[in-house]
Amino acid sequence: MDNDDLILISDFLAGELSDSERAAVERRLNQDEAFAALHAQQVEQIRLLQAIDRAAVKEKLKAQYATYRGGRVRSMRLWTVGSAVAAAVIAFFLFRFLIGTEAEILTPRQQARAYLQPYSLVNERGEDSLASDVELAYEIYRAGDYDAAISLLEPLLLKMPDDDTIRLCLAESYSQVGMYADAIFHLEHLPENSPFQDAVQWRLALNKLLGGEKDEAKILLTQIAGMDHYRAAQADTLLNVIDQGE
Amino acid sequence: MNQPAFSNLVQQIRDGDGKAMSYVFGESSQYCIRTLIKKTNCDMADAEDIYMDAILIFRENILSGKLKELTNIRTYLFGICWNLWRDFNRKQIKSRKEENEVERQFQLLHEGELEDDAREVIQQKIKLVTMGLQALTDKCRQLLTYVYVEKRPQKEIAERMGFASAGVVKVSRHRCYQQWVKKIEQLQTQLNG
Repeated sequence: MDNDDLILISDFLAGELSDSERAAVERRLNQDEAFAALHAQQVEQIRLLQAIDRAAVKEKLKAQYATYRGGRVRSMRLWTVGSAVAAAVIAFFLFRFLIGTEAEILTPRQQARAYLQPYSLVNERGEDSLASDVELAYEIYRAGDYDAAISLLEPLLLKMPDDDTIRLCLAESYSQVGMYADAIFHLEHLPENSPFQDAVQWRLALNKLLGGEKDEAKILLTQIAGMDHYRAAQADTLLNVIDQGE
Repeated sequence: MNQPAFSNLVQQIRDGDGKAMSYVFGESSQYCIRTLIKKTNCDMADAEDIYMDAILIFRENILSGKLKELTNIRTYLFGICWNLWRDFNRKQIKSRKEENEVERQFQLLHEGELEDDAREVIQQKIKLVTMGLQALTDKCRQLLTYVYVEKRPQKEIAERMGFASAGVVKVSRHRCYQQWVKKIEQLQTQLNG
């Protein structure tokens, strides 16, 4: 092995040659077989070095990411315990204020947003029917991290397309981050005989209103207001707000 | 992201400060992974793997000085994710030029998809390169990594490693590189008996 050639190739591969020097090396690579073979050997060794280093760095980054995700879930849990009571108190007084104050005029969207509390996932499933991924997704949903919940629930729904709870949580998550069209898509794909049908109907109306489909929202709200529905009174209030705004 | 914030982030990444990566994860991971899944129907594991590769490329671009300014981390990273997904989908990894053949074999080895003969060959090459590196001093190993892997600018290498100038970096690099190559040759000769 010619030492000078080795140094020249090392400079070439380090990108430290001038344009004319580079051009000379490239010409020589086309003309000198032994030089080209040495170059190929050095390229291979450096590429292996890069691949080995990249694999090691990737493992470190994955470990850092796992730590970051674990920290987020833990801090979400702590935050949830402390803020759940405060949020309930605030929501209670806000609700009373919005509904009970005759002088307060809200736009239809404001009223709909006030009504759009996330679906409460209260029914715990038995451990034998839930994979850890599903439990994690529900935990993150309960913690209010809707972006993360979406990223977990979407692939779960692909695996379990008939799971109404997953679909409803996904719809709620989209709704909470303002992606109403996606929320509507999933709400409309829940079966009519699902146990959540009353909640779905109400949420569909709210999401359509927030998503700009006012006429369709009014049709749904009118149906709800005229039925024996647990949200009949709120649907009636919202229809009045819409009419006042027109 | 304003320029001072970006410069700060770059410095932290160059220094290997873990806080920088936590910040990048916080700004981009949910968006990139969620959007990848939504747009491509890939599963969570694949989306996370693509995101990690994108983070690697982002880091390499920062270290080499290729990325000089950045307004929005999440859209930049998602762009890398999207290109990686597209390349993977088109199987462009398999159709790369010959000079990347060794990287392709390394990847296949990692995935357990090499035939026995090919596996032995690449494992031997990895062993020679790794043992050659281990025979160097820490300073030489670090220097070769800075130059050939992370492609850091010469001036930065000189400052970080306490060399008097870029000229001294070059001379040291030559020496370290020759030692590394010669060690690999010796090991190869021993193996061949």
